[in-house]
Amino acid sequence: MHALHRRSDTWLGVTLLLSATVHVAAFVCMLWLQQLNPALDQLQTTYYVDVVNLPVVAPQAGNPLPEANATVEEAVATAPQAGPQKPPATPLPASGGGKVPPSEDHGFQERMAKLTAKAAEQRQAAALESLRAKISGGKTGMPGATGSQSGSDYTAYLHSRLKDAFRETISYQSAAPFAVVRLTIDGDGRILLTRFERSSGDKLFESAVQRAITLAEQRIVPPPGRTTYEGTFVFKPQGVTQQ
Amino acid sequence: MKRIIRLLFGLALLCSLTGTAGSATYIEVTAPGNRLLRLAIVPAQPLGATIKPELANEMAEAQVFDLTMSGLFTAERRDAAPLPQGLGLSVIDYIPWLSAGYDLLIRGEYELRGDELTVEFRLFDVLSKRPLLIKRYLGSRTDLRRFSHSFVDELLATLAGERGPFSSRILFVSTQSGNKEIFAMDWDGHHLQQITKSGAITISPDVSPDGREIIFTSYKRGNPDLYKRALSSSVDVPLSTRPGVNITGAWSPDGTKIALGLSKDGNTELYLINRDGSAPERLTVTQAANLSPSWSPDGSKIAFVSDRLGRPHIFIMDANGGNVRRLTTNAGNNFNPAWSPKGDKIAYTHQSGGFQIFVINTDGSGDTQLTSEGSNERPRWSPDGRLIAFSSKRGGNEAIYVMRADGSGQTKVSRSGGNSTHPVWTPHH
Repeated sequence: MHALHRRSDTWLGVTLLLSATVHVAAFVCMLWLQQLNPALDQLQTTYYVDVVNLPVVAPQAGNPLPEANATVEEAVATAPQAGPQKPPATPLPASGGGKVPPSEDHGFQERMAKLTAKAAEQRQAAALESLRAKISGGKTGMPGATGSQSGSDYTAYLHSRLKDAFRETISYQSAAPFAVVRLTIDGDGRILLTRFERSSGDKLFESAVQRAITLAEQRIVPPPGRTTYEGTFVFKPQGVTQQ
Repeated sequence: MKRIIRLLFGLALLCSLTGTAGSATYIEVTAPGNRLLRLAIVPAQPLGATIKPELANEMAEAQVFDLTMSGLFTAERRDAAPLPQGLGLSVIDYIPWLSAGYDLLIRGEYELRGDELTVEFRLFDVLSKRPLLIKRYLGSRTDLRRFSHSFVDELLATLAGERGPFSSRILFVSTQSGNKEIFAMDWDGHHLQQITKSGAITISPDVSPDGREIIFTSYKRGNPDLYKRALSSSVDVPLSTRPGVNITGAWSPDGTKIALGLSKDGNTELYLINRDGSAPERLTVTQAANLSPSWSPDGSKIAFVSDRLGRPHIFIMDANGGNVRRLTTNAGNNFNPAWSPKGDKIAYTHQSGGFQIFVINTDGSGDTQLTSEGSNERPRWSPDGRLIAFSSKRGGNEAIYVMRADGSGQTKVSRSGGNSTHPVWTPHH
């Protein structure tokens, strides 16, 4: 039994050694190829865009609508093309190209205009349909996001609303109170549940927190995608360091 | 080799666990300052045929004073149209109060039939548009201030988690009758009542934890002896009439013992006696004077004054006399220790030139001066620890003042003639 274990360990060792050798060989090959084809000396400039902190009209999930009551049509007018433009089925003639008889030229122009208009109409319809599907299907959100989750920007938005409200209600009687509160917000922007996960022991302070939440609830918009949002917030007076 | 594989597996598991724990994020919501809640008090409206606006005004003013002294509210009396169907059936319109910036609203109604008074107070949260507290009181016309104080006490229990002190009364020594006698008054100075009529010097009152009895030192037999009296009675029961002084009696928090200073052995030493005066047990053994005991709220320790190191200072010892340690270390003389109901602070009188009231943590830190105007002595905490009563001589007779525990809001409350000293609060009812 002992010998069997030893043999299997030996095989494992051999396999690992073989794997390491192959990897080293591949690495050496890559180095050699790089010497043959030296990398471009020109540096490629890369721009990083801080998408999260970009100012947006409605901060929830980068809603493309300029206002809450803006119509879909207005949004379409400013929306980018839904996808890459397909080339027209018939190639357009180059201007000032070969000579064409006036009657034929006129007919050709008419057909081309119709085709172009049809293609544009189809593109517009596709873009509109795509946007409608996004809005009705609850798939608003940051580009690349699935649209089904409440993003960190909604948390930031909620934090801002709570902070504004807390400024108006803060009141406490203990030295350094802080309370941990879990909020559940439904798809309509109503606070379903306020749960104090950690009490401050200061009833006046917790009353102020509760009042801030009530005040904020009157001003908040629904979470993106009208999904239920859950977040945990620590309320405390400015300058207080929690233990 | 197996060890390496196990190590790698363990590391991977650890990484995954760390990732899970890190996903729980907490967002801090902070705000500067500590604002006072704005509270509007509308004088109670009459329910029956008898209309006495002076009653409603007096109740509203008592509540404004209480709430302002609590230090948690900005209370204002505001007039408003009476509710046509009374408090019970009318719908409160919160919008004007909300737009005027109020957080809370008190409305009430009263009915006076002969001398019988029925009062109902309601506290509303203007923001959440709902009643927070409803109380109805039945009594006589003379009880109307008591009803107001009681409602504010309940309001503080509802909003701040601890009942207020405003239903309590203050006992004190006054020379109004010619001698030093014990009087009682509401905390705000109303309803003055003379307790003792001994015709001799009566000092150092203390109230039993149940609020039914008092002890005091009286010279009515020539010697400063300790007496007990039920507040419902006029009979003084001698508790300690030992030779020498029997002074500065202090009831233990459980009401079974009394600590006091006795000089039967020469210098004044601290003793414990039973509530009937029996079984004296000596606590201090020094050549110096030891007096003015004050119990910690749990009854395990006693603060007292001793000049064993030269000047009088505040000391703390266990309730059995052991483990004595010095509390105050300042230059000057220190008297009248009073242990706070929460047990974390001791208020005392410091003499350095004049007499001023200080407060110090029980570990000797945070020694803070609370008063500076005139001469101020004998601090005593309210039952909830929010307020401190003390006697003060500010350009006239000595009077009873009340301030918040941080020294703010110093207000004269006694209205009796002569000098008023030795205040002590009665416990919560």
